Amino acid sequence: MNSKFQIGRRTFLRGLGTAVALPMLDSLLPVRAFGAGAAAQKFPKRMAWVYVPNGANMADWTPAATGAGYELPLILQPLAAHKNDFNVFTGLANRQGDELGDGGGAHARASASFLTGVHPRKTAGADIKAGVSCDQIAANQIGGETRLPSLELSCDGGQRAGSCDSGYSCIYQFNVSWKSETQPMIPEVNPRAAFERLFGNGDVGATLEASARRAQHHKSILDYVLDDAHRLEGRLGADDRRKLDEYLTSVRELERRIARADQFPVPKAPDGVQAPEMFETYEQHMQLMYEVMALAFQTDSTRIATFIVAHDGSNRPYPSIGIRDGHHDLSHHREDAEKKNKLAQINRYHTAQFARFLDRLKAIPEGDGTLLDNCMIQYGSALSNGDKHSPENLPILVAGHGGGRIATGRHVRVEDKTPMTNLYRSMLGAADVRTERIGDSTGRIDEVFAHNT
Amino acid sequence: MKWGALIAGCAVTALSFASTRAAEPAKPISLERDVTPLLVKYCYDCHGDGSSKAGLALDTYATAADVRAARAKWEAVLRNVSRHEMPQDDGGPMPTDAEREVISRFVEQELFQLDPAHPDPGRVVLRRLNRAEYNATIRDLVGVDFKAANDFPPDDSGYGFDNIGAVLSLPPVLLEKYLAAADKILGAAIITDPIKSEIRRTPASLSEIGFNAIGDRGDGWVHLLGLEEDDAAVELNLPAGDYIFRVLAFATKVGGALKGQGSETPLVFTGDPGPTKLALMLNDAFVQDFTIGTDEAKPQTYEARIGVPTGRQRFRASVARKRGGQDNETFMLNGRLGQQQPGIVFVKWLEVEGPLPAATRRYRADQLEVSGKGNFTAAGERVLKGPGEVAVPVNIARETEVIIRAQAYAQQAGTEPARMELRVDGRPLQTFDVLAPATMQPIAKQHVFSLSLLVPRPYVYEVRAKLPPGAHRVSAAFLNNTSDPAAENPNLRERNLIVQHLEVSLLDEPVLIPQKPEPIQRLFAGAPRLGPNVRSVDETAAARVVVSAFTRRAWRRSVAPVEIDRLMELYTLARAGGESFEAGVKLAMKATLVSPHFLFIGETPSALATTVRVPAANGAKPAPQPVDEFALAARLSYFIWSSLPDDELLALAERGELRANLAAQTRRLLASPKAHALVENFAGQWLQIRSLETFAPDRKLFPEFDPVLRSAMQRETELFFEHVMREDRSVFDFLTGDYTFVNGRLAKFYGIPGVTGDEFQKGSLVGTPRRGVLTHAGVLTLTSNPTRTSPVKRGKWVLENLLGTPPPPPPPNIPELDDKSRKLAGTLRQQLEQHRANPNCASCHARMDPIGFGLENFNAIGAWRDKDGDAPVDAAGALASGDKFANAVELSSLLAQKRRWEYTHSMADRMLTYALGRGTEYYDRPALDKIAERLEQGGDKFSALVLAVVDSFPFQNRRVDAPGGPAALSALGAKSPPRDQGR
Repeated sequence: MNSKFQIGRRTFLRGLGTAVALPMLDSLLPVRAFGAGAAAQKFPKRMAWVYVPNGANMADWTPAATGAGYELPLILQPLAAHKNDFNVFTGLANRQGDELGDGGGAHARASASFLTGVHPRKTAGADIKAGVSCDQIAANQIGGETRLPSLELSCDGGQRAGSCDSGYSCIYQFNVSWKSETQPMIPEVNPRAAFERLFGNGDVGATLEASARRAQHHKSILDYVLDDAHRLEGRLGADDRRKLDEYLTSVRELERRIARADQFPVPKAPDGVQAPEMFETYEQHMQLMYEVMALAFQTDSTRIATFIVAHDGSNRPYPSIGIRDGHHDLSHHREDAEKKNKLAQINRYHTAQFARFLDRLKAIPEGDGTLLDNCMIQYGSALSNGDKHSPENLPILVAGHGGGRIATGRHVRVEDKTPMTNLYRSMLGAADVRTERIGDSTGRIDEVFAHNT
Repeated sequence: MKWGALIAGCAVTALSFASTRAAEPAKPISLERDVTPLLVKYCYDCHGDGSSKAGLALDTYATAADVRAARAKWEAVLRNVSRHEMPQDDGGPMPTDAEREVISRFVEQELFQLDPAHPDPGRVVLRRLNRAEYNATIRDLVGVDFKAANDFPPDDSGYGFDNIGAVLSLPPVLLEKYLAAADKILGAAIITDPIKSEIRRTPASLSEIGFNAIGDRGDGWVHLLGLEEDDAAVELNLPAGDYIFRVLAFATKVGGALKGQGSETPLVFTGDPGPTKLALMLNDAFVQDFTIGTDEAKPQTYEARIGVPTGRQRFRASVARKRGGQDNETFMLNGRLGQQQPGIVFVKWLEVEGPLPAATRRYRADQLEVSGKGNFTAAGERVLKGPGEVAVPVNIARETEVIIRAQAYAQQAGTEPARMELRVDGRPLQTFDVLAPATMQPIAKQHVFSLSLLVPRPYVYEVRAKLPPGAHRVSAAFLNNTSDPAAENPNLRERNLIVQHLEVSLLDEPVLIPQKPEPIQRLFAGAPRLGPNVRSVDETAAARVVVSAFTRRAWRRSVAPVEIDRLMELYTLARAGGESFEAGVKLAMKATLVSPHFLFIGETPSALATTVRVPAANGAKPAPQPVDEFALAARLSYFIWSSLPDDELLALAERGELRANLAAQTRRLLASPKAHALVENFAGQWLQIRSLETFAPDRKLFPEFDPVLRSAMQRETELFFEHVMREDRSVFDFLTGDYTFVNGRLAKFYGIPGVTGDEFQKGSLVGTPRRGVLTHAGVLTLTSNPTRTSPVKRGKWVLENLLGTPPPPPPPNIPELDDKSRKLAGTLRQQLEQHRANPNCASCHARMDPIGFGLENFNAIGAWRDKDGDAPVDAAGALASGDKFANAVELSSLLAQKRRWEYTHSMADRMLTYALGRGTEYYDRPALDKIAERLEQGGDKFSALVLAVVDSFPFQNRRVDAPGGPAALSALGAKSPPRDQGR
């Protein structure tokens, strides 16, 4: 465990990174997830998308050589211990985040289009429209196999005041996961709340009978309000109906969850892990969120997650590594060497944080291997050169072996301007999620992915 | 879209406003004659003659009707042309500003034909309660401040506010939280079983530490400095009862020096400092204070017994301020305007134990019998203005010991403090000197001219007695009323006693089932009394009464019997499962709180309501309808209170009399303490002062910027806004107000002499270089970069928030500055001016930068400076219109005089947006004009603005969908799909 990562009094983190403290993990998984016998041991595949803002200093990101045996550039060096567990991709593009006649607002577009492959409608509020994101496409198909269909996390809790990027509603800039083209999945910002989604809030203490009764009560309430909403529906105009639809969809989803409560009981938190109390620094916040994601995967509470490390356009300074200027200001470096260097330091800091998450996944045994073996964790930004808001040649890597479906350890150069969504199709394919098309996809990426469909 | 932006082209602002304002029936612009030649000249290279970049071929629109039919495309044309985003400068000819204006006005003319005879109120989408509204609504509905929504995911915002219906979405996770919140809220409000006592210990290192505390010194001991708000606090949701609040603490010896967080200057205490004290507080009330022992080897526990109402409470161990002291003796009465206290208190843990075995009942002042001269404040406190008392009858079954508590504060006149006597059956038990807020006299030549305690800090006064069985009367009496009308200091003219509540704890009674919070209590009181002999059929009737009354308030409208029938099915279900009466009622209430009728504000018609569709004549759009009275009540109360309509509003709506009494009701709402929501939610976002929390100026360059200062900055702007609102001042005070609110810390920061202590005082700015919110340190900070000022950001902030004429975003790909431009030299201003030599940047920066230059005398955290680096600051400049100013003071007054139209329209736009929960559109122009006009007619008073918004056409009316849903949706809708990759 990295010595910086001592948040001593935060009990949540006690025992983290120490695999020995978590000996009984396999038993936490629902038995059916493993198939019949030990020989046919098959673990569920988990997917996550980790979003970092403002592009990267590409000279320090892109490896010079392709294929295996490339040398890690500055930004990727913190990942050295995991070099054989991920692929770096060069050539991918998020074309729908480009201007396309809509003028300013590159940061809002970057996040809104990143996982959807759809160019968001320019509006400060009325008629919000983006697309369905790849994680939600996956959640629609395989989300029913776990207690939570998906998990959305962020370290940035919405704008406190003022308008967001150039005429775009803040909704585009603070969400990457979209359930429908009009409805984002608002991420959880509070680590404790996220933890409680996984493990309940611990103060239940009710008997099994009482909780069965509670489930029955909840079901009756949902029946009631569903009925209520249906009655209301007929009397509303189209816009209002769309809002009510969000409500109806949510009610139905909750009903399904309650109906499956027997099948997916709320798991107990692994030994030694308690709910997080508070955090003081941004680094602690990030690590708590990464930890929640690791726990969610470890306990098979969900197999799909997104995590916004910071929203696009974030102007946060990084005093802990001596960077006193804002991130966004630095990303507009105008080729100034000193600024680019600082930017690279921030990028490297973020990969170092990500490396600790990979450490953690690797420390969790699963079958004969580790949890990371069964993961596909994409890490990257929706811009490359932030100075020009360039959506091409994005800094992207995918860690984990996808349950053996991905050959790792390489720097993969795909044809220039290959849509990001092609990569998502390959990732989803490796998790047995069928897709014909995602947003602007034109195909799949064949290199390194073993496609079986 | 914001129409200010629409018509405010980059360099043509003044011109286009002038033309809009005059509204003269100008000669219509012809596509063929006036516009097409320009398009041919500047646009056809990419968008005509066979070329259709970005899917746009302008030569396919031959007539004005073609243009109107392609609204979305031409809105984009308007946006891009007026904001100078198109044509792109590729070396070819570029249109002049006048030519851009021709194109813009033509598009406006065709797309935005406004017909004054048929105004469009727009569409307010059903909007869910945001977090602030959910919390306030529950607080007012259930009577308990749970702040349950603090656990909800953040709300997204649009148009600068987080209450925009179209933006607020409702993902499954939120519904899950609504259900859990309803559980928690009702679970705490309606308790059916006696509660067991518990001890809840929180290590101080895990408590919420006040913004000046240094925190854990490494071994779990948390430092608290002798400054205001320096506390360790823990928030708990508890059932009502008596609790012990306990801390483990020791203090350092007095006279030491300490280096504070982010401060280079040690805090040194000199003179005779007196003992170091720690106060135990419940929320804002002082319960008891203690002199803290200084033997670190023997830390001691300090504890106080506290009566607690149901709900979320904040238990605080707060550094007690010294009362009196040499520096402020002249100004102090027995108030609390103190110096920093000496010594440092270290706290290890906080513990809350209870409820203790005792039956505790709290009676708010407005539930008490009163005698003597006096009145109730809007917060329900009793102000005793003459000899008299507040009293409550108490029945006691057997002899018992009781604790009687009164929570009170005073207003001061004369030399002796206000005296309060606690009595039983008219017999005095004990007399107390009640502490008054600090007051200060106006002092000549000092910028501070008055001082008032803005947040009264009450104390809890307590006495014990043994009472025989029988009926008793417990009271608190005011003994020494006096007045001194001639007192020079207006704060010292009347001596009054203000009682907030009485509390009686019967120590020998077992813990009762905790009392329900007041509004819930009232609901249940309305039900027929239940007893062991009452048959279940009566119980059902009783339950129905409770559920009906609750649902009516929660849904903000009268509720149809069939709706209650269905809720009662839930009650029946619970009872059939063997659950209690209250559990059954709770289940129904829970459904009420998760229903769309509760969660969405808007017209959610009841089951019986028949939607009247006005038949459209000749296929014309149906005429708008007035929003119904219930919806109007909700619009009004969520606008001003961020909460649900109270009984009075609801009753008026039920009788159909709200519209007729709207002005009076608006004034009533504005006068209520709940109108503070406008400060937090409207002003906090309009002036962006909320976002100050996330600002982190560079610590090395600005060591004095710490959380205390940050909070003082935020408070200054909030108090300023609240003052304008409460005193009904002119909205131009925001620009030119020659007063502000400072406490000792901020006064020192501003260089205003003579203000000490923690309380904020209103002070004059005459003779200082500051005016209005523009020179508030908070605003100056949030428009700066972490390491330096940003005249561009400051200019942009003014254009966006005060003038409603935001500059367009920079062109997407700014050409890089060439090498020589890197050698920009001189002050920031000189560098920016060199930068502006670039014609690509000049037209917009000419609007932004000068305003920012006018504020260059204030550094990146808003402190005064004469020099930027070594060069003297030059804060003189001229607006784009040519009007000159020499400094910030002149700049603000110039904005007020010369930008009056923009400013009042911008205020109208911001407030209407917030009030409706939707962005303003082109068709709101007449309404905004009218609001601005009425603001002017009303002497620019704040209330005139609010009244005009409430009275406006879009606030009062709603668009009626044509049968089959609004066609406008699809017309405005789909942008062309992803297109030519080779662009």
